[in-house]
Amino acid sequence: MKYIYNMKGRVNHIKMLTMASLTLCLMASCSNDEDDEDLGNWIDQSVFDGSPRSGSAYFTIGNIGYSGVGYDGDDYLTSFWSYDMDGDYWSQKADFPGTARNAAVGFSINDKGYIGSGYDGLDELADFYSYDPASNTWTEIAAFPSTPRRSAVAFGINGYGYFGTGFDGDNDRKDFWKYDPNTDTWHELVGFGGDKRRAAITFTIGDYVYMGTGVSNGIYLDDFWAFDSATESWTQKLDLDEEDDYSIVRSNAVGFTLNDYGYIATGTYGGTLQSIWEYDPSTDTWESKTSFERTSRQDAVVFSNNAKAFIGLGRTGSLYLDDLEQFFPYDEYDDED
Amino acid sequence: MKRILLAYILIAVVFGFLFLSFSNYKIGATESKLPLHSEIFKVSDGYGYQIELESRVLIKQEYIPILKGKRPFKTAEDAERTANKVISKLLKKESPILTISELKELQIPEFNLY
Repeated sequence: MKYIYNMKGRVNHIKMLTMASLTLCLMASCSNDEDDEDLGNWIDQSVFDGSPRSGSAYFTIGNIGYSGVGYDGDDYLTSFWSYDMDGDYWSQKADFPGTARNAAVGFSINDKGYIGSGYDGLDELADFYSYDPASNTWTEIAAFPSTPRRSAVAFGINGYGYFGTGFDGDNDRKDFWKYDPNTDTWHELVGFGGDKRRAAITFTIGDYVYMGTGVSNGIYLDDFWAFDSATESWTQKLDLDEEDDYSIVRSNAVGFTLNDYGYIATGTYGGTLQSIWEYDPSTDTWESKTSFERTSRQDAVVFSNNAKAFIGLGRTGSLYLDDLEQFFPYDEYDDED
Repeated sequence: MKRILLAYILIAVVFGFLFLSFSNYKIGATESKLPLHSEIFKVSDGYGYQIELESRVLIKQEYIPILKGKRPFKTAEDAERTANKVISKLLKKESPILTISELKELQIPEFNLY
């Protein structure tokens, strides 16, 4: 794969990768007993992504996705980019002001974005920064008061930020914290009944945030949780291996929301994965969708605003990928695009 | 017998050579021939640029990258030098990230302080 990557021009490279992953898709469908073809289609959206990197933090505000920091295989990065979902173009924005890092979290609260925690190559980190798109400026906010960590999860809802789980350098964590941007303070939240973990995902549907996947001590977690933002309480949902044909458990995946369905895509389970699963909150059930049309990846980024979703910028082994694809969950699969 | 052996060796050498030159040719072809070009545009108090692949905009930079705030390039030449640098990186299949030292090298005056 690496050989092909080196010797081909980018356009050919993309075709080769698509062909290779199509082959994988075909192989995967042969091994399935299902007769019905999965719905969902991916459209190649950007010739390049802004930078091939992995472990970048990301958030979406309106129709603009933001992605920054990360690791390019040699260096930890501070550069920060925006992606205009409507115009399909990137801009390099104000550099992230903290230490270069990867495995940081990104989330948005109202019209501001936040990036914090992570790993700088030596230490886990606890500092957090807010980004104001209106002025293209960063401001350091109150540092996370508990154990510094990487590969945590974070989400913003109802005007607050929530941050939890992750790896502190010695142990995986299961604590959750709330950030109040009005007072610039952190408070621990109680009531999460799940296990400690790192590299989990969340997605938000209406007033609920769903959290699951991740790994701890080599064990992939199969529990799945809903966080009610109104009451700040957690409810356990059906396990991610509830049905025999589910293959949802994984780590380093991405979670996103589109048309009020939740999605878990890419990630790793033994090897890196291409598969994507759709969650229907009304029935608490999962359905497999067309796999990501590229080489499988972990530590990808996703931009989604419930109306559109774009996924890209992960890695496969040491090969850093640099493309972005838009996902159309209800289009028939078309291998021509 | 000797002649047949010689013929085999010859064929092997020729094919080996062909294979090598073929793969060398491909491996050596790292310069991408993507039809990339830039466009400089005027904003209210300065200039910005966009990088296009044929007619498709890949990067639109209304403000100087890296710097906080919304500061356009003071001159069209500054914008153009920066745009050309991004294109050269993309053609070399490098990441289009611009760094402070690159912008200093391009003599973008806003980076003199760094």
